Amino acid sequence: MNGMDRNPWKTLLLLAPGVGFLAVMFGIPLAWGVLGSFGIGMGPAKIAGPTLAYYAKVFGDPRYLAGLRTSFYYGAMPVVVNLIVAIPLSLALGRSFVGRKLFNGLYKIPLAVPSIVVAFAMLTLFEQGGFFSRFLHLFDLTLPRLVRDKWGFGVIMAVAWKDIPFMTLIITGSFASVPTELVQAARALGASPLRSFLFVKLPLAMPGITAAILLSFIRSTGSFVIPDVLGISYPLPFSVLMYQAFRESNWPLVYAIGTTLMVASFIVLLLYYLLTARIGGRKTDGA
Amino acid sequence: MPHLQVTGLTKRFADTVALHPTDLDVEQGEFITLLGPSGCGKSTFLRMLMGITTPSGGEIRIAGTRIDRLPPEKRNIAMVFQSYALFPHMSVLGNLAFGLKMKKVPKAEQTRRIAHAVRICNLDAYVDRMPRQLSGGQQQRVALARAIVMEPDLLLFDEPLSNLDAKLRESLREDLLGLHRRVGGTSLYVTHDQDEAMAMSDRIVVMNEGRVVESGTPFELYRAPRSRFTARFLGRTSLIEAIASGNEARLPWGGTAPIDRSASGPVSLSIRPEDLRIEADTQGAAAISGHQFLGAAILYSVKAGEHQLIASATGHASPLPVGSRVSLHAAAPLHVLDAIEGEAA
Repeated sequence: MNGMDRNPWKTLLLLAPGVGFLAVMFGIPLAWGVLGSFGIGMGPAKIAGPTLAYYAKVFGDPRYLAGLRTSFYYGAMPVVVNLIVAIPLSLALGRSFVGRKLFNGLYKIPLAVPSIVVAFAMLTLFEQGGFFSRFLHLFDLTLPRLVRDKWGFGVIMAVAWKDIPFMTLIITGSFASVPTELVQAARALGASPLRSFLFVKLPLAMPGITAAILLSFIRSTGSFVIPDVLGISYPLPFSVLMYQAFRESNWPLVYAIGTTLMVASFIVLLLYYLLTARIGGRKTDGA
Repeated sequence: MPHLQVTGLTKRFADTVALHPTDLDVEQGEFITLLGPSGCGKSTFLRMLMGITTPSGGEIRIAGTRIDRLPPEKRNIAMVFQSYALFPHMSVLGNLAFGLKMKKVPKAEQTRRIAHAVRICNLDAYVDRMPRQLSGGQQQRVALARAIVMEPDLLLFDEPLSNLDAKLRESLREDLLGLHRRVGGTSLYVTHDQDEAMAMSDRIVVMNEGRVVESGTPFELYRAPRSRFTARFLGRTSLIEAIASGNEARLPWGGTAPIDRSASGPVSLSIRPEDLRIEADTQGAAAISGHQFLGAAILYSVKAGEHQLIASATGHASPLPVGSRVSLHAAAPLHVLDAIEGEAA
């Protein structure tokens, strides 16, 4: 079967749409943006030469430094909440119980709900004068500030809510790919259900869980609508700061913020990979 | 008191019975094989012993203590899986130490037991390897060593050789048996491979459709099976209806032959290939319809009247050509099967 078709032109032809799409839709804007963040090609009316002025602003202005921190905070915290919900949920979905099929469908609903709707749903729940505050008022209690709050509770909850099905889907798949016999072998070798989970099932599902964590983190760091609606007005995350710069038509600043966010995300990714590779030791290849 | 005592062990699923009430006694140090086709209930039986399937009824005792309500980790029973079930994220050493760590065996004792298992399973060169770096046979030995270090009350084997090629399977059979003797434990082995069962077991328990058909030593079950099922499942046989009177039976193609117990009236005979001696005879009642030259022996298909029989001869002479007339002689008294109700003739 193989070797029958060795025509290199055919391979090139098949690759062309994918490579072309990436080059045009991703490569060009990326190059444009990175160059633009140094002020290159930004038109005669503005600075036309290479400059570090915009990076100086990003790294010199406390507003932007706090923004970077906030972006990471809004990225990482929902992941933590997500894991606390998604891991037990994935384990439950791996068992059989009454109504599992129904539940299996229901938990995916957030995938279909737009961020803006989620943001307003949280607002109606947690705002002063919203559902919970009225409910607590019946008992003469006051709801602490949970939206547009210092700790970003509303943002974290909304982002987590949106990402739980995504996370659960990937983690359920990772757990399902661990052969049951390995867990049974661990049990027969004297491991309690908890220990067979911690020492066998979890480490073997780790590559999938790691991927889920990273993807979810990257999605959350870039989220715009939810922190814009539910976040406090200072500090603002990079995504919102970028939008503000855009409203002021300050394109080089938009590019500088975007580039910084992207590079920072890459660094986090890299660190995370190095760290898990070290802790997990030699990884499995699933063979 | 038997070391392992199983009484009335049963497993029912919603609308099927996987295992009808089953009794089994195993003595300390015995090597017992559960033999049967797939779906005969042997694996269900093993899983209940191990504790990963909950019985619908019955009791399991080891050295007199009831264990069927205990979770797997509280039973001292080790299992060697068909898939080996080695932990892919741990080295060979990690795999061997896992159970000892779980059972909080003191460090010095861990080292002693692992060293012993590594030596007798011939794993010295592989302790630092990862399972994926080992061949199937090596992985199998690691799985075995991992079970041995636990010094289990009972060692279970679930078709442990069926993923290996034929040559390796045969050599590992001997290794396995040698290990069983050296370790001195009690082993329960599950297989559908009758050669394996015959070669390894002190005793074979033949199972079919969720029930024990019969049990005995390989010799007893091969030479003198009670049921047609066992006669067919273990080795080759020709099943023939004959009329007995005293210690002789009248054969359907004419002539008489001695039988291994006295009977009168219709009987079923199980005739092993080596029980029939064939002689070239132009006046013979039978004809050769095919042959397989196996080296040590020649296996003949012989047609006698409307009966198809199997006969064997030593491989010293070249096979008789297909179509040759032969006469048939009993080389030993022919075995009379029990008349078992419900067994089709």
